[in-house]
Amino acid sequence: MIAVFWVCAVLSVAGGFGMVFSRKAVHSALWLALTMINLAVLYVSQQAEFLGIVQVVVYTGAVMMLFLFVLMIVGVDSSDSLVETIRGHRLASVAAVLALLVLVLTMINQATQSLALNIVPTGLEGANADEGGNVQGIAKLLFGRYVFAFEVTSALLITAALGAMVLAHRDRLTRVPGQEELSRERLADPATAAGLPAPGVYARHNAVDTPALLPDGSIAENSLPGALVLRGTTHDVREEVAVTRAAELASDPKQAQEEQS
Amino acid sequence: MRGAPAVSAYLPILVLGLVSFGFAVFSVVAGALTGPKRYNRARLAAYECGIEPTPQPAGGGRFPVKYYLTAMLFIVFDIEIVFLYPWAVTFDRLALFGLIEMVLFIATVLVAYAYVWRRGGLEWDN
Amino acid sequence: MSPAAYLALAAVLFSLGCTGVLLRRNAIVMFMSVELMLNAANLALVTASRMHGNLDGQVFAFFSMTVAAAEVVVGLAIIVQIFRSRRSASIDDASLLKL
Repeated sequence: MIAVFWVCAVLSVAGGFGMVFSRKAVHSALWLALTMINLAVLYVSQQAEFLGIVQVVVYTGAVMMLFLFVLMIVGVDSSDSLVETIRGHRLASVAAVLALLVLVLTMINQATQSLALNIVPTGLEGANADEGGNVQGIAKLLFGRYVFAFEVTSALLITAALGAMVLAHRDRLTRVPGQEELSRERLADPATAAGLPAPGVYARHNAVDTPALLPDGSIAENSLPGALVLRGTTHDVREEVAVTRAAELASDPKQAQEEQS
Repeated sequence: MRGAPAVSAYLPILVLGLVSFGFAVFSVVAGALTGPKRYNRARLAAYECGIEPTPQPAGGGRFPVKYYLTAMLFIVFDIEIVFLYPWAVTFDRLALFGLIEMVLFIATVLVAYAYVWRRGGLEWDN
Repeated sequence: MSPAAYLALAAVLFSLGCTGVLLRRNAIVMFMSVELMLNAANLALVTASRMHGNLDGQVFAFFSMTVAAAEVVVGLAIIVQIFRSRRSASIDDASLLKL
């Protein structure tokens, strides 16, 4: 028991420190998950088996997963700026927290000494055995004495679902074009009826970032993937085409004459 | 010692954790020790269909998680399940009163479910 | 272990969460710190439950967990909404009440 407490206490405090002091938000989330798993073990070690499992299922499983999803949306690399917006803010915060910690620890110390709480805790063996187990004991209270709070929780769940929908859901104003619409649209235009041109194949370069050439030697811009055009990382073949064209014309005087006339 | 039997009951979970931790460490170490090590820059670069790999754009590292709304709604119904568990365990002892309570609870949560469904919160392409 | 040790651990975790809220400016990390504070409170409730030998404390902790989960859903939805309108998750950028 003592070993379980110390191992889990040290790990959970380490997780807490890791969460507060990691630069990257994702690392913070993973540290917090460590803390929560250790807290679950501490619950179980205090004869709260059901709460330990709920802690793992709800907190570590669902809540931390949601945190990670939102971090991915907001940006995994997002880290805090280290500029203090208020002078002395950090020092004051740490001092305030230390004062709070000393206050609470003193309070606990006073309470445990004056109330003799540290002698023997009552323990839950009796309470857990009364109903046949921890879950049964909780169920008796949950559906007995606290039944009203339990029913009100369902209203809370409605509020949560409503909040998520109102804040995070976006209604579409137009219908998404389906496969049929897209296909018809493509066939209606003769330029795209046979599909867009494939990227170019050259002696030196044949990747998707190289545009194809049309029969008249001009560059087919729509042979490039849109994402690469947006990123601006497409391969510019104009110069190479000009050089090749000049070499072709030099080697073939007849064609050059045709071109001039 | 107080609670000692409870701890020994959880010994298999501890062993499972140790085994999985050991397996992870073994895999990483064994892979590093036995694998061939011939490094060059091209091998470490990301493969992007032959084009020059582009660095992440500014403010990068963002992933479009389409289903985060589904995840949020999952938590709401996850809580419902957590309440159902102690009820299911003591179902026979709670008798009719417990059944009515739970029907009321589920009916109320179903209102949220119906709303979410009708608003299209569970649709993939929105 | 005596309940005092568990309570002291809860106090330390609560203070760590407090530090996170005061020091960090990424809204998501602040929110995680709040979660840590809630967890510390839950640990204190579970300890009190064992101390007094009845399960009321555990039921309180259970309700606090469900409320915290519901709160996470709404809070993260608000953060996503703020990020959509300001392209930033820093609370310094969200200084106006309107989006």
